[in-house]
Order: sequence, then structure tokens, then C-alpha cells
Amino acid sequence: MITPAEQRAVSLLTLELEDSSRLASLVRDSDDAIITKDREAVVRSWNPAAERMYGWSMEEIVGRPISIIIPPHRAGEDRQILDRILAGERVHHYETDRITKDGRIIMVSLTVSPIRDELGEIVGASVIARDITARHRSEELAARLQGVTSRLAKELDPDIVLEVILDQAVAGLGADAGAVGMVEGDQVVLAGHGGYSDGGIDDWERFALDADVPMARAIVTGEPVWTTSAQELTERFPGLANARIMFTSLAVLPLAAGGSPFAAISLSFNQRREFDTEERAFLVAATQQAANALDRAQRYESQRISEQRQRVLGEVGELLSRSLDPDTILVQLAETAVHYVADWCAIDLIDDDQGLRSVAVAHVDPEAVELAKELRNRYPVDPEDPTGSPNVIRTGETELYSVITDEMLVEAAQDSEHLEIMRKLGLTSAMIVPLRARGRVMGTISLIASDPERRYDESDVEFAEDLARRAALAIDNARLFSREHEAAVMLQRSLLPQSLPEVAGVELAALYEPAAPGWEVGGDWYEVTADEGTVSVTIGDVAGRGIKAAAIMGRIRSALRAYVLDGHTPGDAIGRLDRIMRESPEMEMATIFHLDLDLAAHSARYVRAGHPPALLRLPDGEVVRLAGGGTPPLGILQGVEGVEHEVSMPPGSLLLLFTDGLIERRNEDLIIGLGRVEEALAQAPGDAKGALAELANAFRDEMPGDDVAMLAMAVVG
Amino acid sequence: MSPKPPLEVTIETRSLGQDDAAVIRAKGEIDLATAERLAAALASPACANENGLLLDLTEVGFIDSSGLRVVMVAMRDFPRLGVVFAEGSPVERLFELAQMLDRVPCFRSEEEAIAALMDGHP
Repeated sequence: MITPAEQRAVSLLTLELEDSSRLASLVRDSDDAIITKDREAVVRSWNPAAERMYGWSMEEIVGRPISIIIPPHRAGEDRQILDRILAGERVHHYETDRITKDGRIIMVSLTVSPIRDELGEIVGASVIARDITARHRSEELAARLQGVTSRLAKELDPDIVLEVILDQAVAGLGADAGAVGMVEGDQVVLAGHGGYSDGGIDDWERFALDADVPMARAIVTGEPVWTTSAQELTERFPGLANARIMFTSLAVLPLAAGGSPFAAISLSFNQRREFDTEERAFLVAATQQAANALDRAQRYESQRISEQRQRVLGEVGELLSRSLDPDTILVQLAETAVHYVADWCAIDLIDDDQGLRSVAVAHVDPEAVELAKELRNRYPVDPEDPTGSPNVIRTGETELYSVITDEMLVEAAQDSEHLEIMRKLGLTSAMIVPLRARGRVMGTISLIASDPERRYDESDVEFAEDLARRAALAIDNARLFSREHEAAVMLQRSLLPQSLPEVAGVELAALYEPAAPGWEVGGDWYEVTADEGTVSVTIGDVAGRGIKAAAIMGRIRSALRAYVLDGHTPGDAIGRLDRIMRESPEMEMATIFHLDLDLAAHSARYVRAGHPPALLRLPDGEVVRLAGGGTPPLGILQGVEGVEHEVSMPPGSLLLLFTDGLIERRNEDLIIGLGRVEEALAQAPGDAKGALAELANAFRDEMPGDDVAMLAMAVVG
Repeated sequence: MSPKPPLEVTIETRSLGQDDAAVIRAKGEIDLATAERLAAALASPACANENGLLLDLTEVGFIDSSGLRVVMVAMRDFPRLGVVFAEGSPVERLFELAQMLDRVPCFRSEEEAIAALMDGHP
């Protein structure tokens, strides 16, 4: 039963609508929902705007609790508001969510005021509600767009750009899933995605740019694609009629920065959905920001790559100039390559019988190097292979395998173990580049990626070919140089005595050790001349290097020999030699140690013309330096006389003549080097051949940079 | 062969009063690969044969017979020559071994050498 007081309250609350007063018509015509409810939160009046906003008609809702329009996550809120009103408060512009009859959540701004009877008692509340869903939505989208803009403003990592745009677009439109595809050649490759159910995206990892699908069309036309239903989708894209479509509505936007689109973003919605102007504007603006950021990131990346390539080329250039040994060059090149441009690198050269020789194998993972070598050894390259290194050598053209799939490995494998090794090494992209210099292909460089992130393209090929060109030229030069080096060594040897004379009373041994390849041949020489009771031993060094020094050495040697055979004493012979050297303008500076031994008297006279001292081991084992001076190097200064010194060489003596290559070390005093040779001589065997062999062994490793001549003479009595 | 030349050669002209002297300073290593640069400095227009020449080898850490040859050519071509190097240095050691120490006009400092060159031509 309704009490009279209640009856009065209801009439107060509903008064407006039944009344034909001005107030009532205002309420009826208002765009805002105007509702009254009693102290028990029961709806008592409901204007047409409320009907439009909430979907409930006046007849349906009057007499029912207001909680009908409160969404579950706001449950109890109506009671709290009413309690404040009953306490005499007012609620102004309170923003909250409500639920419509058909289940939509809308955002409303509420102003709630108490309604009092004539005695001032609060009998209920009036609620004025404004639908602010659209306003709120556009504010949210604007804030989101601002967020996207600031996050992408300085981002240089393409992966992060893709992540941000995908997240924000999906969240901004409330999509159920989203994906980004990037153009790669004539294909679109999935670069990121989220929200798809298991397997839902698998068919779309990679597809042709000319395929009749929304992403490809957006990229090709540069226009967004919006579809609101599956039916609309298949009407516009007949090719998808039989495809597995897991969604209802779709929004696809192309990404372009200035030029033609290079990517597209696709948003999928499980529910049917329209896209309003603000949502479209948001997506267009956000994707444009992403496109700009990606473009910037790509420019930055390509600049970074080009700078890195310049650095690598510089490094390789230096490396190539450092050695003259082709194999050393290639091993270092392979190491450099895996440092910068490949995960593993194999270099093969054509050998003398036209087969392929593996010269260098390098891998980023040191443990994998052995595996890579095993692959080469156990499965050698067949020179008849229609692809790979043999084909590159035949055609001189690079082979590029941008993407190597597991199926391709299975296809290429000779047996299951072969396949296993290849899988272990990892092979996802490769290029095989010819090593070509002066029109001739001499081998190949294979650059292989095992990291799926690394996919070689045309620009990588260009770089690799540049690298290979430089390497090939360096190898060709090294080979050429090695031939010239051999020629100079041959000339040098031909100018030295082919054999030493047999001289009674002494035992002789001599040795010429050319400098290592990479260093020029010098002008070191020695000579032995025997003549009626005397034997002359000479060692010398002509300044300069190469074939010219060797030729000058030959002339000096024959001139000195002629003076000796003419009977000139050492001092006289050296003085004459100096004069003819200075008369020939093409002559060089030379140092000489020249000694005459009287075989009967066991006494010797020597001249040391700017040359390091000779060493004499006396029969008691003491080593003395034959360091008598007075004569400078020959060939340059005026007024040089050969100053003679005498020394006794009893039987059992061992004389050692040598050139400066034996004692000269960087960062070391010459006297220390001399002392080392003295010590070695003190320990050496008593015969000339044995002593020389031992000294050569002891010092060979230390004399790569200069050539060395040595002459030993043992006095046997 | 290495990218940075291991020998630096600089030429400067200093007054000897009535005429000038070229001062050539070598710093680094003088060997077959670098001696040509020192020889080229001697042949440059800054070094007139009738003027004085001061060859400062104080900062030479290594010298071989290629360097010796350049010094000898300087001795032949420049009558007023001073060669500066430190006692016990590699340069002195090489000159000693090559019987050149008593022939090279040797000084311990550039100032000492300049003073001597001026004395020679008052």
C-alpha cells in the first residue's frame, strides 16, 4: 500500500512530464536525459532523451530500480550517489559509465540534485545525464596520438617503431588482433603481429605484393581499406572467399613516407564494427607517424651500414697491404668478414690442377669452425656442380640466396649427416662472390648467414663484390711480387760462388739466406779466392735492395777478385775498389770485410771497410772481435784508404764473417746482437760446416727482415 | 708497409748570421723503407749545398745501413755539416761499427752544432 505521503512524493517526482507547463516541455525536448528517482532509487520519470540514450522506453523502466542502467563494474554507485543527495548534497558533472538496454557501455556526465516537498523534505533526486562517449573517445584518441608521436619522435629502432604502432592502433580502436607487413622485393613479409589465435596468422607470413588481399591492395593503391563485415570483405576481395577468415571487420592502412608505401598495418575485429571519422583520422595520423619514424630509422640504419662498410673496407685495405702471402691475406679476410658481414665465411682458390682448394674457413662461433671445416673435408665441392662456387668460377657471376629454407637444405644434402652438419651450422642466407683480378677468376668467397635476421640483398652483394675485388687484386699482386722476389733471389744466388774452392789447410763453408717474401732481396755477398799459399775470404753488403743491388754486388765482387788475383794486398785492393766505385755513378755504398790468410805462417791481414767486425774463435775457445778500424764504407767519401790489421790464426782457429742482418734488431743495441753471436760461436762445433749450420739454426727465426750472408773458415793446419 | 710512416722528417731554416743553415730533424726509424724520405729532404731546395746543414738524429730509435748511406751522402755533398745524436744512441753505435764515428762531424745538441757551423764561417 502506498501511504499518502508517498503518493504525494510520486506526484512531485512525476509532475513535470504530465504537466503541460513550460518546465515540462523543456524536459521533454531536452537533448540531455532527465530522470527522477525516489528515495529507494526507483525510476519515477524518464524523458525521451533518456529513452534515446539508454534504449529503455519510459513504459519499460518507470517503477524499476535505476540499477538497471548501472554496469557491473559500477555496481553500488547509484546507492552512493543517492546517499549523498539524501544528505542534502548535489553532484555536479560526475563522469561515469552506464550500460544501455542492448549492453553497450556509454560514458555519461551526471548532475544530480535533490527534490524536496513543500515542507523541505527530500523525496527523491533529479538526474541530468549527458552522453559524453564521443567526446571522451576523441579525447582519448588525441591523447593516444600524442603518445605515439612523442614515442616515435626519436626512435631509431625499426622493431620498436613497429611494436609501438601495432600496440597503439590495436588499443586505440579496441581491435582484437593486428599485424604489420613490410614490402620486400615483390613480396609482403610479416614484420610483427599480435592478438591472433594459434595459427591464425600462419598463412600470411609472406605473400605476393600483387595478391588480391587487403594488405597488398592498401600498399599498391596507397589507400586504406575498411570493411565492416565478412561479407563485404569477400565481395571486395573475391580471392579470400575460400580463405580461413577469423574476423568480421577489418581496417588496413598503408605506410608511406614521401614515396610509395613500403608497409601496411592491418587491424582485425571479431565483432562487426563501423569506423567513425575520428577513428579513421586517428589511424591515418598514427600510421603516418610510424611511417615517418620507420623511414627515418631505415635512413639511419642504411647510413650506419654504409659507414660500417667504409670502415670494413678501410680495415681490409690495411690488412691486405700488411702481408704478401696470399693464404695469410685470405685467412685474415675471412676473420674480418665474420666480424662484420657474415656468420661464417669460406674462401676457396683454384689450385694448379684446376681443383678447388679451401684456403680459409671462419665462423663467429669458434667451436663451429671445426664443424665448417669438417663439412668442407667430408663433402668436397664437385667442380661440375651446376651451382655454388664451381658455377661462380665458371660464370664469374655472384650467386645470391637471400632466403635459404630448411627444404632447400634437405634438397642439397647428400645424406642425413650432411644435412645435420648444415643444420647445426645454420644456413639462412648466403652469397658466393667471385675473386677476380685482371679479368681472371681465381676463386670464391662464400659469405653465409646463420642468423635469420640477416638476409643478404643486392646492396650486400655490391659490398661483398667490392671486398672481393680488393682482396683479389691484393692476392694477384702478392703472387706477382712473389715471382719477382724469386727472380731477385735467383739472380743473387747466381752471382754468389756456386761452390767454394778446396784449399789445403782450411775448411770453408758459406751460406746466403734471403730475406722472407715480403721483404726485398738485399746485396749481401761473399767470396773466397785461393792463390799460391794464401786464401782470401771476403764478405760484403751493398746498400739498396732488389735486382739493382744484386747486380752491383756482382760487379764489386768480380773487381775485388781481379785485384786479389793480381796480388794486391787487402789494403791496396780495398782502396782501388773504392775508387772504381766512386767513378761509376750508378754504384752504391758498400761495406766489406776482407781477409788474407797466409797458410804457412797462419797469420792474416784484414781490412774492415765500415763492416761489422768478424769473429775469431781461437784454439783455446776464446772469441775475439776483428774490429780493427780506419776504413769507412766504400763508394761515397773521398780519400778512403784500406787500413790493414794483422791477426794470428793458429790451427784450430775458426773465423766467422757475417753481414749486419745477423746482429741487427729493432729496439736493441748492435753490441748486444754481436755478443749473442759471440756466445753462439763459442759453443759451436769446431768445423766450419757444422758451426755455420748451428748458427743458421739459432738465428734463422730472428732474421726475417733482412738477408744474411755468412762465411766460416776453420784453420786445420 | 704500415699506414703511419714510422719516420717523420721536418725541415727548418736557421740563421747562421751571414747565411743560413737547413735543419733536418728525423724522428722514428730509418731503414730501407724510410731512408728515401730522409734522402729526399737532403735534395730539397731548402738545403743548398753551399749553406750549412744540420742533421738532427737525436730522436732516431733505429738506423741501419740505408740510413748510414744517407748520412755519408750528406757528408760528401755538404761541406758544412753537423750531425746531432746522443751518446750511446743507436745512431752512434752504427757509426762506431761502420768506422764512421771519427769522420762524422758529430755534436750532442743543435746549439752546439750551430755554434760550430758559425765558427767555420765567421
